[in-house]
Amino acid sequence: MTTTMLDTAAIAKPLPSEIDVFGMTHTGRVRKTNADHFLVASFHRAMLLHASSLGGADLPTLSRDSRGFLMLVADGVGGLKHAKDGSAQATDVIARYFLDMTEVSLQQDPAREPELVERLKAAVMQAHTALLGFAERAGGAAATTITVALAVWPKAFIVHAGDSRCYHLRDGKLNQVTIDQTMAQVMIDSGAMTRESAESSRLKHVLVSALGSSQLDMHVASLDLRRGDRFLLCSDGLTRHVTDDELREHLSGSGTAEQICQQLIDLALERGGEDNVTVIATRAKAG
Amino acid sequence: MRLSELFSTPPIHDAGPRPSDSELDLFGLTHPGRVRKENQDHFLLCTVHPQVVIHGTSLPHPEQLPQRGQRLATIILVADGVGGSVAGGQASRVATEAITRYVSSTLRCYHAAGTTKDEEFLDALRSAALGAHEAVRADADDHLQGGVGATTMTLGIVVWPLLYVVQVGDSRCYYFSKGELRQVTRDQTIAQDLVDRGVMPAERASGSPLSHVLSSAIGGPAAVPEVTRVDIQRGCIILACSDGLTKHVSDAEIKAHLVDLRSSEQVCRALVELALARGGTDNITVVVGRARTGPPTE
Repeated sequence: MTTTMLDTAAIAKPLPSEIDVFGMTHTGRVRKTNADHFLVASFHRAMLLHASSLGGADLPTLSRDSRGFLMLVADGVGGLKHAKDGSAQATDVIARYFLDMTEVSLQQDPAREPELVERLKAAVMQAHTALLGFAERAGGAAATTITVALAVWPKAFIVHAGDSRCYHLRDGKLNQVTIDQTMAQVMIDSGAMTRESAESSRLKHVLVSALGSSQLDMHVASLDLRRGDRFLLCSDGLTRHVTDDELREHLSGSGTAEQICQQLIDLALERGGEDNVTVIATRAKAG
Repeated sequence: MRLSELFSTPPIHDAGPRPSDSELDLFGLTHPGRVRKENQDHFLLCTVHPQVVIHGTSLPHPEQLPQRGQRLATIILVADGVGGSVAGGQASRVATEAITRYVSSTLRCYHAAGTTKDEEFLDALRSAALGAHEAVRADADDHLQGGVGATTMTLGIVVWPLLYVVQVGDSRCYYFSKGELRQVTRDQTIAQDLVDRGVMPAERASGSPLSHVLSSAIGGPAAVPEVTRVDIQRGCIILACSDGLTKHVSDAEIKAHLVDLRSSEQVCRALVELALARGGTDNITVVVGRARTGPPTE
């Protein structure tokens, strides 16, 4: 029989005041429109007062404590006529889906974890179906990358398709949670191309899987959260100009989530800002 | 297994379709009566919803996203401050506020209602009542210089198709369905305790002075919450009231009003008027909740 010593400071859910999340997007210096979209939302419980003998003013109407955080980045696939519509629609559909499922699934019951993952996938699938329907009506594909992270303490779930990214920082180490679904990555994985040559290859920007396209290969990852963990979600407009080392440096610094987003976007812009740039950063105070 | 099967709770009984938020007809009313100077009754009628707070987005019209979902639960509460002291009114207010805070944030178990985790939900409701008890005690220590306030509390929580009732004291919750009226709660009075133990005949209870002595009260020497679960039906009416109503109005009369109901507001007003016409010797509170069966009649 084994026993585990639990570090209670590491497992205590962060207080609302300890959570700092921020999202930001920029068109960049080259493109005329911004086809990136993002969403940062938290789930609460609200009380709607119909009648009471109490004065309504001092009654709480919204729970301060959130049940979970949703972070989403969608990068409308470049060049296509409806790129912007694709990412906007996907964001909208997923946001609506999550509103309906909040109470059912946002609970800290490990036994129901597979349900939560299924629902997360179903939300993304629904957005995919909506985009295919839209493409049929509009007469042109509306495709987008999608990277969604749902944090329901003490777990985080990440659903991903395309080449936007989710990074996880713990103890100073940066880990890319998502795998780029690009032609270049496929060739690296199969040994047909080296990582170095992939960096400059045009195949780096060719997606093998995207929401609303004929190819969708959705990936799901889950992580055990710890106090002090940080996350970064971004579109490739950031990572084509900023290295992983630089991301780690900024994300692990003492800046607020807003400062991290602003600094990283400034860095991408200084280096040409060739594409739309979107960044979401999260920090929770360490235990 | 189909995805939908994973998330739907098998129906416990054939209740009919769950009413939508827009079909709800909820009303509550309180009146000091004709004798008492102060109203020490409190009530609360609210619905609890999932809510999304958007911290940031690129979407051009985030305000168009539906940010509040359909209700998870409907909450009905009546609290009747005990005795003639200032402390009674303070106690019923503090208890109502404590419950409000609890259901709006802490109570995490709506999803467990009606499932195999029912027991977890029932425990949560009992601890909510005991939390209110503690809040009233702490408030008395802070503000009442040794005076002790106490209050009844009848708390109904509807998680369709179930009604959970937490009872402390002698306010009441009634359930009306298909022409039948049923008192869901047990009066926690010395008289009723004696009747339940077979010591006093039931017909003597209401005339006994012991019928106004509580055997359990929030903030009192003993607080013993009793939790009841009722399978509810589409078309039913739930009524909660303080004893200011029931000391003047009989169950048969309450039933007759519910049979002829036009709206929750109309029934609340009619019942309060009736209690006032018969002397209004105590504060009167009536809260009614139902779903409209057809288009609104008024």
